[in-house]
Amino acid sequence: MSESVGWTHRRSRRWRAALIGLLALLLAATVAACGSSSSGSSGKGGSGQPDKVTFAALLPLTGPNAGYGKFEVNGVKMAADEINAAGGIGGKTKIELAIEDSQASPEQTVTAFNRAYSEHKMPVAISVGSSSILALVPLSKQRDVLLLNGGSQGDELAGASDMLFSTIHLIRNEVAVLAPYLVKNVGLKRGAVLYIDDDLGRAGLKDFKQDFTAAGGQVVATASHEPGATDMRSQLARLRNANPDVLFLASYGDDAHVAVNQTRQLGWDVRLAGPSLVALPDIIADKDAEGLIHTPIVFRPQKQFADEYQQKFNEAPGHPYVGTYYDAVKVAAQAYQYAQEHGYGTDGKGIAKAISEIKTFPTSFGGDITFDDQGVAKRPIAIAIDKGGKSVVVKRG
Amino acid sequence: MTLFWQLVINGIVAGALYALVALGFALIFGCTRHFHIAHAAVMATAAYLTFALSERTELPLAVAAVIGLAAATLLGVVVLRLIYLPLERRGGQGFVLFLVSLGVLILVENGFTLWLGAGTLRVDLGGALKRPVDLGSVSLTTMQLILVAVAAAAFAGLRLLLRRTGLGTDIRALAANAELVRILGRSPERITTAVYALASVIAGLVGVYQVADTGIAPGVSTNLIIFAFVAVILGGIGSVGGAFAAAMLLGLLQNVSQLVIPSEWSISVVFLCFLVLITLLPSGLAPLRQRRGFRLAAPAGDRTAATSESLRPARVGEDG
Repeated sequence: MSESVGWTHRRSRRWRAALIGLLALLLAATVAACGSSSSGSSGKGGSGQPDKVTFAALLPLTGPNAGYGKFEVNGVKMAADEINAAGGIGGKTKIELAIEDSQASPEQTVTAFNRAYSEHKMPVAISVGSSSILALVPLSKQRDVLLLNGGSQGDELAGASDMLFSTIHLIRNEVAVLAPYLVKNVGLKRGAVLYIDDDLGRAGLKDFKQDFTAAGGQVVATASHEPGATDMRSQLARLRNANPDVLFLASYGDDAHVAVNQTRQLGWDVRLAGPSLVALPDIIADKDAEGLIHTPIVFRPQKQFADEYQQKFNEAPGHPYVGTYYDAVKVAAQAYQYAQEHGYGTDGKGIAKAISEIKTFPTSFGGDITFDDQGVAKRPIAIAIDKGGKSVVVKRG
Repeated sequence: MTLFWQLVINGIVAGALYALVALGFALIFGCTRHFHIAHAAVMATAAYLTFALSERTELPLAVAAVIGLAAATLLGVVVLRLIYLPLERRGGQGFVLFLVSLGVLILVENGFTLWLGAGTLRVDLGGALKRPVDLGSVSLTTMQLILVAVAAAAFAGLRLLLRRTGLGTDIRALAANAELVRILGRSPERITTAVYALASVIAGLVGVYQVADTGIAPGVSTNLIIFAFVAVILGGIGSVGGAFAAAMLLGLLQNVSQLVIPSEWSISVVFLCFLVLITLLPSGLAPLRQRRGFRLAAPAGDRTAATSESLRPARVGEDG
């Protein structure tokens, strides 16, 4: 009896294993079929122009930069929807977005790129994070994928690849305007720098030292803080000891906010200055930042843009990244069409060549942007001062 | 000279923060040998709940802080009673317990990040407590003054509790010999629970301070626990007073060292000094100045010494 039960049991187990195996095969076949159908994302229609093209958006959906990621994704979505609603690129090619979470970390960004590429073979990837984008450069060349950056301002992005274009200017562009203004217009001759100890912060320090000194100023003290630091009081005390006229902050996000607050908590009422990275809405609204001289990325979209955004995402387009990422998709779309019309091919190289030739593109910011030889957008850079919790432009770019 | 004194003040403030975490950690570690890294989760719970209740509901900040503290204490006790003790009963100790504790920390931190986001969260105190208090040429905020006072009070209170109360005697007895405590009819579980509750309240206070001062973000409390652990080792395992002194020393070293070296190297300097000190004094600072009754266990021939030795092969060699 027990033997027969054991046999039945074994047999049913074998059947179950066979059934599971069959199901797994079926599932694999289905996935493969889906994969092959979506990898033909630029399958051609009758006229020789593809019906659709995939743009990969490798942006931080989670992690410490997810707050920025939301604006970036929204900008990308808004541009793609707008183009698709008008019939697609050239009235034919619809843009499909492959949005992947990059967490703005190089490892995750590379993984996200590979995942998107294996599935979609996309010709365009939009991403953020200086180190992340630099990690993508060799991959993008190997896979022939155009890279677009709308949010990172590290100097090392300039000329890093002929397949990389930034719709936002770099920190050196801002410092080149801000440092001479501090010395010549405000008369601040002695500068101190507090910088975040990463690529961007060190670039800011180097740029400031160079431009501030060239304008006739003197950098009297520098100090760094770790990313995510919560206590910068000793660094600030050391900087105060050098008795500078201005404290230049080459930091960003919450870290910059901590720096601003702790400067005042030390009872130090030094004049503050910083690039657009420092001029976050929260910091500008904080009375500790009163008088902060900065180079804002002024984003005042047209009413139609603002209304459309509000309707789509149920909030106002509250950050310039909405605009720079919207522009990235628009630039890629325009260049895609140009590349096709001129027979350059609609792969990454063809689109990159098209951008280099078109050079000047309309933007959501109102004016145009022009890409320089190193693939960086030139935008007018204004000077503003934090007055009563508002960023007031004192010198137009 | 002004800069020196400002750095000393900053060092004392940083040291006070490390010390508060180290006090609880030393108490738990000295008494139970639990490497309770989830102590950081207890801290984070107080901070995140204070933020969530005061900013997302209409509750006044003080009420939110009290609820946050209570929840943190509860978490410490729950982790002990529902996870560590059953685990120990099934023979899971040492490294297994540490891994489980790490799991709790990751779960709790990620839970809060999922709920409240990964940015730095701060409660608004209206400015008065964050205004600088001028002490001649140096300054610190009222918040910081309160922190230093709380750390000193916690130290003195714990000292008194361990030396002068029945619970203190029980705790010291448990640290020295758990079996004997059981034979004498006391419940080691109950004493351990009291230790966890006490340590968790102190950790909760740190959490509330963090969210009100510099803000809480993923990883902030874990950084603190690393310093606390260094302080516990440096202070001499089992010595609450040693842990407190070592934590203050770490804070001072980290800040005053910036007088001569760039700030990015200050953490490296702290750890370099730690390596040198622990090589020269393998039992930590405590044996330098031992106070009867403030060490959780007798220095030799007990569980503490055995553990200390197992951590330090050099000393085993000496014994041999």
